[in-house]
Amino acid sequence: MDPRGRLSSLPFQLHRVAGESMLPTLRPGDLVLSRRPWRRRLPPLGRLVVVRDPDGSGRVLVKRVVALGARGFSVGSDAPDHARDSRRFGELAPSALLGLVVAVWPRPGSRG
Amino acid sequence: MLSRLFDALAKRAPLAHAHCDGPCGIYDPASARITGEAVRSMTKKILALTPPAPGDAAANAAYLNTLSRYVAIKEEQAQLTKDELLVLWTDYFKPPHLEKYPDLHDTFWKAAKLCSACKVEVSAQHADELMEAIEKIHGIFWATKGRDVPWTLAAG
Repeated sequence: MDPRGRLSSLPFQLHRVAGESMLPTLRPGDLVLSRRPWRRRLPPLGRLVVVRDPDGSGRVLVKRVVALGARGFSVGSDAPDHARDSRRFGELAPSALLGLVVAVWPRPGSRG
Repeated sequence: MLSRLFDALAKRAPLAHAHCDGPCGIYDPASARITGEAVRSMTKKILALTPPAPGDAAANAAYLNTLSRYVAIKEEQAQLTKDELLVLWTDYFKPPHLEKYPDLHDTFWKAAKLCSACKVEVSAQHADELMEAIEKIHGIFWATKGRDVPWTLAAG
């Protein structure tokens, strides 16, 4: 779903996790439900967020907010040695924030 | 039941990436420096080779064998250097870096061109220029990370 597409006005969105950078919190195949930010406000520190990749690819990333700055926020990975995050692309503008994660549905069979 | 609902939703849900992209964020211009040094070394060795006396078949065979190996290694290492540089250019460097280093694209483009020149020619000058270009990239790369990493060559 293109974040700017026809469903973009829905208050909630569902994404499927790809990749392992958020292990052990999120595993590949888990579903994450996020709500859109109210305004262009910075997300809370420590929150799981869905953001637009600043590389212009239109790709969507799921990350954790690790720092708040004057004009933006930085995201990191829970498995920090294995990922593309703010250590690679710097601070994100509030407009890059697509959603705040409100629920995680682990892929059946992926735990224990 | 729940797992069927999960599967149905998972099929429709767009991806949110938590990817390890490429070599897990480990970039280092040292790999281009090492292969670049190999190119320069092979270039110098080719230029230093002395052809054997005419009529000495064994010496001629040995000469051709050595020359072929030098050329093959130079060709291979120049391509590896180009590959390493392109990974840094396209994967590591981001638009904010370009703002700070406006000649970044030109630097990489010229360095990649020098890799090609070192394949086509046996030019000590171009091999030296390639190393200068890699040294410049080394400086920019580590500056973007806020680290002062000295430029050290493997060849003495």
